[in-house]
Amino acid sequence: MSRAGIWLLSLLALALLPSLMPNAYVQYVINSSLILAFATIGLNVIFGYAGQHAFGFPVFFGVGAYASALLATQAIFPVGLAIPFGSVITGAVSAVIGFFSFRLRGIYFGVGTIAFAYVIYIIAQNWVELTHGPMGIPLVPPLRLLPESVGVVGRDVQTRIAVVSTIAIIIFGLDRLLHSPIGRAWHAVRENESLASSLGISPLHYQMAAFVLGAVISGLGGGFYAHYVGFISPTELGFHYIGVVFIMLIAGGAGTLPGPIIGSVVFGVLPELLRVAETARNLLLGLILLFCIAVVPEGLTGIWNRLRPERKAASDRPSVATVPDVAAEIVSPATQTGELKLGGVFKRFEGLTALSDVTLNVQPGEVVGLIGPNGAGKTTLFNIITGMLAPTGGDVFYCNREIGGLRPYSIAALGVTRTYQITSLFPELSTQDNIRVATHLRSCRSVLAALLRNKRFRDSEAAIDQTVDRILQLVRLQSRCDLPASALSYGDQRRLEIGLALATGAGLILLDEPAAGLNAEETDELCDLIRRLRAAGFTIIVIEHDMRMVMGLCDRIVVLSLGRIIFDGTPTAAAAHPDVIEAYLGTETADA
Amino acid sequence: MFELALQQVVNGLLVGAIYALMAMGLMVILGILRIINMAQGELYMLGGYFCYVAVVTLGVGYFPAVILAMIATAGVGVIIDRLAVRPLLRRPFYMVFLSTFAVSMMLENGAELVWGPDPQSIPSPFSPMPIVIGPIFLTSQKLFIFAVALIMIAAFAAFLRWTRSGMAIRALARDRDAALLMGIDADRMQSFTFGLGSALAAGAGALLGAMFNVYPTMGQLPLLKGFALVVMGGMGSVVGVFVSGLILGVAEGLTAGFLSTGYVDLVAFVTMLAVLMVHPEGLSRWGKSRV
Amino acid sequence: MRNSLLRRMTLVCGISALVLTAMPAHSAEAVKLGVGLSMTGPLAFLSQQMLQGMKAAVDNVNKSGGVGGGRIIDLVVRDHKGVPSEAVAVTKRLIEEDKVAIVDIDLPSTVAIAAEAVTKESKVPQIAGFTFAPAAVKQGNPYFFRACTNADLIADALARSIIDEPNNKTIAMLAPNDDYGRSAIQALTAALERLNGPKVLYADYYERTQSDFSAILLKMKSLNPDSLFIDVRYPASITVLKQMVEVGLKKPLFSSVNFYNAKLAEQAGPMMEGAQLSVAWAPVFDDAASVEFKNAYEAMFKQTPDDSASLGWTVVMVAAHALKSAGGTDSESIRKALLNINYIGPQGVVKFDSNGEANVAAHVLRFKDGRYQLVR
Repeated sequence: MSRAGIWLLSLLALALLPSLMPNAYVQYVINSSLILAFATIGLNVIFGYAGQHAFGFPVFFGVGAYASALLATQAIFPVGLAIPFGSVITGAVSAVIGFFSFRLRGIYFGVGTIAFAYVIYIIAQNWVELTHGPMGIPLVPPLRLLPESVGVVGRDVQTRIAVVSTIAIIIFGLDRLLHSPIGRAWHAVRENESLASSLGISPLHYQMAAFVLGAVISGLGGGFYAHYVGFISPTELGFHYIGVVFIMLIAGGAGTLPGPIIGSVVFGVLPELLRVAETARNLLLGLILLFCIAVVPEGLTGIWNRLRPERKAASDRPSVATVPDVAAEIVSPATQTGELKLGGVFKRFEGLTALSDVTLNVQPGEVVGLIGPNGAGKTTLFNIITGMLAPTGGDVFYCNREIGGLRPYSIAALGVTRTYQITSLFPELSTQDNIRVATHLRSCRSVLAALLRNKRFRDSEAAIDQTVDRILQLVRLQSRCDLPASALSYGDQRRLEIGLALATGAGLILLDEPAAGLNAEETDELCDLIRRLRAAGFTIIVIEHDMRMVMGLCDRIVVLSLGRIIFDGTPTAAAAHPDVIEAYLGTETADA
Repeated sequence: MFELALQQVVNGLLVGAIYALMAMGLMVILGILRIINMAQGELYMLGGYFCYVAVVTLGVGYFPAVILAMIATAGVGVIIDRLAVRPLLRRPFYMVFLSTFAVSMMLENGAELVWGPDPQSIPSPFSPMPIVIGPIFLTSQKLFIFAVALIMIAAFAAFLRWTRSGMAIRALARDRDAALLMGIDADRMQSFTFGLGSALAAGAGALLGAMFNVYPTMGQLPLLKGFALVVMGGMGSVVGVFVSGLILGVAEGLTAGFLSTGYVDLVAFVTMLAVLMVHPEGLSRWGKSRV
Repeated sequence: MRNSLLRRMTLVCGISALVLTAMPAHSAEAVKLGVGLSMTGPLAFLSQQMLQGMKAAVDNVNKSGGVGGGRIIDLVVRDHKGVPSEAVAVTKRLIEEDKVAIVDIDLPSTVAIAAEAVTKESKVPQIAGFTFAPAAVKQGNPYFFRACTNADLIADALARSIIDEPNNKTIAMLAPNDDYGRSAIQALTAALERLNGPKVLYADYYERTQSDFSAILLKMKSLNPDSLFIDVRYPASITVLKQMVEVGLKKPLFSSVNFYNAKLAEQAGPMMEGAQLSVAWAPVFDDAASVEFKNAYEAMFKQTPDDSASLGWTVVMVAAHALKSAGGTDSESIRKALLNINYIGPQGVVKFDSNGEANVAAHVLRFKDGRYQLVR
């Protein structure tokens, strides 16, 4: 049975089966668990997909409950409007909180979200004029899909149908988003944020998007909750929710589509069904969470996936089969190429001057070699050109646009990309998906298009598939296209990195020690590739220590020593220059 | 008005010293292990309860009871380290956050099961009659607690600065790999650190428990406030955290005095968030912060 | 690691299974009263006392012939932890699963109000025994009946005592930051205004988790009111009284049933001297209903009952009377019976008006020479 079929059947079962339950109380428990699933799904978006540990996130469930309840009781919105508007308000609140929270790094982000959650709780407790404080909001009108006179279908059933339908729509939308450039961007930001940034993906943009989306979903659930229970008080914003929702997510399976729903239903219903001592509930829940973290971090969904026979890899497309690894045609860069101009760039770190007075011009179509002793500042220079560092002074221009101090993703969008000294990839993704992520700048990134799967979107995805194929052929990784990147050999990984750089469509490519660790044959292959790239119109700057390669390949050599350029000219002149020899080359020895 | 402010300030200083003591334990664990020990609040709570048990059930005097409580809670801390933290160090750091969060849930529920949800008070050997100095009202208990907190904090600072173990802790916090290369036994130091952090929290709990009450949920707020103090005071600076604690205590007192009690708890969070907005990496002092 | 965790988990599961609360055994001829209380949480102590009062009443009723037709009453008790959404779940469970005839969801008022949404829809009678919030009878629920006093009546009784205090022109107030505390201060302020009483200089609320009151007490001291309304729950009340001494704040004290507490009297007696408090009931009452109640309770529990216990007793008695005269156990009969009853309980006469309000007056005690004495 297809995935879609399993989903449809399960959701139908969820909607209809509980009606067969012996008494309405059990139905109530199931309904409550399903409603709480919204909070879990919302948390999954920010935590499971985007990888941001926003520990205070479940508070948005309560915010949605309050927003909807207040709209319905104070502003007299009909319930059917109060719930969605309430979730929109929740989204707005989350945007403000997210804006401040994302300024924080590391642990502080997580604790910052807890602090915000607590602030919201205190406001709800004390701003009596708005929220009625501890007295809560009573008489929240119930959700009715059918007029009261039609008594056949009880309110419990109506609520459950509304809830399950909404969950179905959300899951459907999320699935579409996940299999689109947006989902790929989330994964990239989660796995390797700095690499994602240098591929043109703005981490903050996608993190905020996940944050707000997750909050809107949670808020929707909160709205359903308010109109189901009929009474809202600040306890709904309390801390015990945080623990419960996290347990549901992790035990269900974070980062998966069914995980949050399974976790919510199981851990919402289980304690009631087992009638375990209510006083020890937290004790048991804590134990379960510990158990999950230690033994089964992928949760129930993970166990299920492990038990099933090994299926095909993440991508739904058939992999390119037994085509021999033939080098393909190189297509010219997707962005315009131009001159790279550095003027008087210098960089200082707290007392250490890494670069001083670096002035350099690189013409389109050149292959420039950047050499020098270790610690000369070569990688620092790359970091400044690509935006990982901002220059302390001087300017950097590309295609006559000032790029000094811009963010890496902005610079990538202007057509500059790089590879790294230490291999930087997305280890969990397959080889072809790594490349696919790197096509981000060329993809159709509209949310609407992703949800609707309109022609523009489908055409874009088809073009991307072609590009991925081509690049796979180019770097000769077709036969390994479905292996996770972490499973590739070192040499393959280095080639994949170049593949990523090409996928961005950038015209200026900076290669940081691409030949490190390669044998002679692989190095020759690399040189061949670089020559072909030059022929196709790319501009390449390469940092290397392999002199044979550098001398034979580059049009020009720039020598950096102790942060200054000591030479800029042809390879032959470089080899003869006394300063260069003294600083770096040394005298000629037998094994050059 | 001035008298009110003055008294609030004095009061605030006393409360602040306790906050600082609580935060010391958190700082040392956070600094070395780079994790928030979400169970720190519960260790504070256990300190209070162990002291209660020692005084009420075992009949020990109040002062030795505090010491006993600190030792017992240090033991609990080491257990938590071994079972819930150590196995997860290789995982992404939020795993440890969640596991210590799970432990905190269990400890809180456990305390509720053992001692009941109602607050208990520890009989205190101090008289409630005030000592009046000018317009200021003090009690011998508050003075004692302030003094003890000061002594503990000073002892802790001295320990960090001058003993071998203290230096080892600081080295591990600055650069773990280098410290390992120097031959520091990271495993042992980690357990030791956890025990030390737990003992400090327990001390705060036992001291405060006598002044007020002990109840199972008493650790929730102090954890967050302690964290706020570590953020504001700087990750490795005992003086910084101490001063921040005093400032927080005074700020809370003035808020209660001039605004409303309900918003008192906001002070810690709003201040912490404000500091983080200006210094998003926190005010770290161990050295380069890799957090 | 994996094994030790599994072992620990099994151990805990096993222990938990042993700790299962067994449902009380009931005979086939029992009419069930569904009770939702805050068995865990800050109001656990009050809930415990109230439940004991209920049990004493149940015993009393069943021993004297039950509720007619050979039927006895049975209590089904569930814990809602003081959380309104849990109370909704508890109410549904009592109605759907336990199939009770009448529900009583108390402590705090918010849970009773939350439960009203359920009883209104399911059309099941709900009697409140410990719900003081005025809003409780304003939910448009014809099945809701309040058998106890309410915040307005409590405030009224205390206000009169406050006014009677000589040289009392200003007052400062402190209450918990929850629905009880907020309604208490709101009602008292309104009552004082209505009766031209002392001016309220300052009112503040403390958080349940708060343990240090010196800041707030200092603020009150600086305002120099003539009297104080300090409605603080035990055991925070001990801290407050102690800190009042520490801060040098000594004024005529007014409070509520929260100060009616043997342990409090024991530990902080001298500091409470002269304080006046509003209560629904106290053991010093010597009317016939109170005596009957005291005897029954002491026989069963070997201790003197308190205010909460009396409220529990009254609720069960009211329910029992209604069941006796109702004839059947269907909701409509019970409801009609409740509208018609005229029961004299320890707190006074319980007779419901058309809103389900019994308007039982509150009383005031004074704590003097280590004992509580009746004032009005």
